[in-house]
Amino acid sequence: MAAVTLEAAHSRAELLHQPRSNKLGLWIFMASETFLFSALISARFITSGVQKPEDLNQALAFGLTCVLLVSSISAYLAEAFIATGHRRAFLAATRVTIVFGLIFIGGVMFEWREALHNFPPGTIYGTAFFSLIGLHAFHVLTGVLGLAVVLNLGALGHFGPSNSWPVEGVVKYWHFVDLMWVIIYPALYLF
Amino acid sequence: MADTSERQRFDELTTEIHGRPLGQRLRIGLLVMVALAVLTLVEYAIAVEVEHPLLPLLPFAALKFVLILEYFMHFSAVLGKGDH
Repeated sequence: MAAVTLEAAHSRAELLHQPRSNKLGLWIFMASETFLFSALISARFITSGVQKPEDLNQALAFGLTCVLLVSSISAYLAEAFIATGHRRAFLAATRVTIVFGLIFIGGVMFEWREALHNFPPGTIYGTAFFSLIGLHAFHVLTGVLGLAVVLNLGALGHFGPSNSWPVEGVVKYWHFVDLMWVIIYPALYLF
Repeated sequence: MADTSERQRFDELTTEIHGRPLGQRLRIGLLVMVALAVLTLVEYAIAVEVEHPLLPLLPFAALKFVLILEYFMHFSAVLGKGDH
């Protein structure tokens, strides 16, 4: 009886103590990534001022922003579902997030094809544009890979209310990618 | 009856661990989503209508940044505030 009580108390202690060092590590990583993005955003304004080419595809950029925002809510839902034990809903929400991430990458590739003609990488604005969009698209790609890993593990029965940190970590990274786009979008297309 | 009380206990435990019940989380997520969509539309409208949109756009971009940081990424939990 005493062993059972001790085991229950131990399980409860495990449930209530989140892996704080993992969280702190992720935040430090995201802070360092923010410096990288900040450097390129600064370079865009230092080299080109607030000027932007007339032939930017505004409609496509607006569409990409909407795609990323919708993917952010599905990622948020995936995290909420697994934390409350709704595995099937978690899997569905993660799949939706991955699909939107892939649509975003497809849109960026389409945009690059146009941009290569309008403002090639050799031009001042082109250098800033391709560096920033390329760096961000790479982060989206790694986010999609991370989501695919947690989707696969989740489908195999991993994670649950007592162990949702890996999902939370990947979803936080996905939101970080969204956060960077919130700055990159006006910096490249709107200012 | 047993199922209901078990479910209730499960909800209480997950709420204790993760801060908020699922229904409340969904409501917050949808509200933030709507706010982000509206702010993005306003940004776009300002960029199209205003000749030098840098200053007018900054507050909207900053607000979107804060909304994502706080409600999607639970930043205040890092500082030991909030119940995330």
